[in-house]
Amino acid sequence: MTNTRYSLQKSRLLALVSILCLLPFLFSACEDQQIQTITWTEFEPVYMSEQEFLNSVELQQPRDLEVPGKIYFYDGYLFVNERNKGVHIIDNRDPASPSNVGFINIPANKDIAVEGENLYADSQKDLLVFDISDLQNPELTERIEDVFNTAANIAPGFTTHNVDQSNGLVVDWKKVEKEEICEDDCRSHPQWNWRTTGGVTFDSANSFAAESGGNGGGVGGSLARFAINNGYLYAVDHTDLITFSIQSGSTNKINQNSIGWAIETIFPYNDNLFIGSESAMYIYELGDPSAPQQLSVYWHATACDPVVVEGDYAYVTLRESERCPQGVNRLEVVDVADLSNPKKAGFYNMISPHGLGIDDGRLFVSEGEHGLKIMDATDPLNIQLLRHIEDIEAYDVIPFNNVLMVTGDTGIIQYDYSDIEDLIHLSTIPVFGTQDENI
Amino acid sequence: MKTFNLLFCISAVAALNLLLLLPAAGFSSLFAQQAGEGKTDQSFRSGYFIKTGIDLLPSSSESATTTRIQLVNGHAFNPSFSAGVGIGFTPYNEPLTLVPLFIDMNYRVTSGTTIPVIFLRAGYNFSVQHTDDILLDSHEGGLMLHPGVGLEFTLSGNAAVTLHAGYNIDNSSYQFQTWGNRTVVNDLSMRRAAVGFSFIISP
Repeated sequence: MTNTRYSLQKSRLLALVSILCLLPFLFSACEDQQIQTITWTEFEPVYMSEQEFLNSVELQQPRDLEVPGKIYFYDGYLFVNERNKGVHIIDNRDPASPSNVGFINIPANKDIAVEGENLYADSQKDLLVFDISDLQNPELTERIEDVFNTAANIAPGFTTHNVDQSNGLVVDWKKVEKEEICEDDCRSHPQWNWRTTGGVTFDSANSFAAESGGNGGGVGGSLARFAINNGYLYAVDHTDLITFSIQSGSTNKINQNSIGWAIETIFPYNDNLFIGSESAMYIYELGDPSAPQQLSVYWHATACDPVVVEGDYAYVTLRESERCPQGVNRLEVVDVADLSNPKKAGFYNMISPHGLGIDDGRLFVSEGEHGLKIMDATDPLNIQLLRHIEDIEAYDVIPFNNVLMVTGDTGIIQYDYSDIEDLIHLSTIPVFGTQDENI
Repeated sequence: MKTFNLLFCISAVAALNLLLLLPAAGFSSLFAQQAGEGKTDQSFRSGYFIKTGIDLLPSSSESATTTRIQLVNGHAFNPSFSAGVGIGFTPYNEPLTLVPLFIDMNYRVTSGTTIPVIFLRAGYNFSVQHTDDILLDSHEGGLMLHPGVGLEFTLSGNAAVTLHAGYNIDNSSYQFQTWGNRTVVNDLSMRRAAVGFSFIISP
């Protein structure tokens, strides 16, 4: 009996001690706890003083391609934009053995075009003209100031930074990873989920070129924002179409019109301009090349959309991306026989179409990390897939004189496509950066 | 709200103290008397039992009190100690509902018809998204811990009801995207007082 009582008392004491041990725990911790770890990528502007901006344009030694942007082919030479840094000059007269000739350092450069002995390049708000008659020694001959208004100041993705002009000129955007930890009173909640990006951006970064049907001397691309036609340089800014006269050895801005919003690309064809925006394709006629006149607008789903034209049909790739989250992934064929009344003629589902090019009914569509598709478009209403090269990454193409230049993460790959069934790899100009760095 | 929370916790702790102090005072003599009279020990059950019950988990925040239901299949090893495996359903809906799978351990401090009990439930909460109206990238559960004390009232030779109070921790987390392409990882630790009751049947 005594043992039983002793045992019971011991048990009660144990229970009491246990509960007393709980007391401080309860007092201190009786509250729901929430810890939110918020991570994101944003872009911070990189500034340069006006003086440094003006003085930094110079010819430099050849350097490796790191983050290539637009490319332009002219008279056997490839001009490759190093995004926001300048232009590589590559001797491509023998596509099987290209050689890097030099590099022109141009801050905030994204677009290029070549005509005759002149290279035209944007540099933030300015248009620069280089005399490239001696490619070993290009020379800056003109700077037309304050012609581009907005593009350089627009972040290529989400940003929380406002451009502060007092810090200088924005010449680049640096991608940074951010983390914020919030405890308890956190404002983010999945019910308030927007699923969109915060910034208005260009995606020119991810694409390069396709054959232009303009009457300039070189070959630009489906995503180029410069086009040369009959002695005029046309450039699109985020909202504007700007016309430069480049005749008689000097460059003069003669026209600037606001034409829409989120303008991305310009493609000249048969004295017309086909201008791509996120939501439409604008067609302008160049009856008076100094004053382009709008003929029509072809509306499409919001997407990233380079365009090329051949014959009576325009080919538009629509791609869903972070910037165009509601977009679609397809190739649209637009009947532009009547330029004032473009009509959708058909569409073909794609995976992730980027830039494209066409040459005599052979349509080349970059599918990003899914490779390159070569299609038979001799009957635009019944396009047939001929080949799908899946083991490369392709963001844009230039088909020109049976040499196909494909740009991707690993480099600029060149093929001889005189026989589609027997595509011959000619060379690869290596890229030592990644598309993630591409802004 | 924090004041309310503190008051609630103080109340809960007071209740817990009461549950323990009563056996330490008047109840203890009753139990001792029962034992001393050599009556049939109705609390003694051994072998398999089923326990089902409800816990109320009042929140100090804007969200409402959460009611958890649970079912335990267990085994009484001797008059004092039993253990089992339980499953529950805890609809926090913020935005996850939790399904705890846990070990339930009980220690009866005394014998008799009204018995103080110390218990511990510990396990893992599996997470379930309670609605498709929101977009989550991923979600996962976490620790479930529920220590407490209670009083077990024997109803008959094979049935009893328990009133209990304790402290409950339910951990979970989820990830979603928000504006600016931000990734948010939300680690939640629901730490609440818990009161409830259970029915025990020993067939």
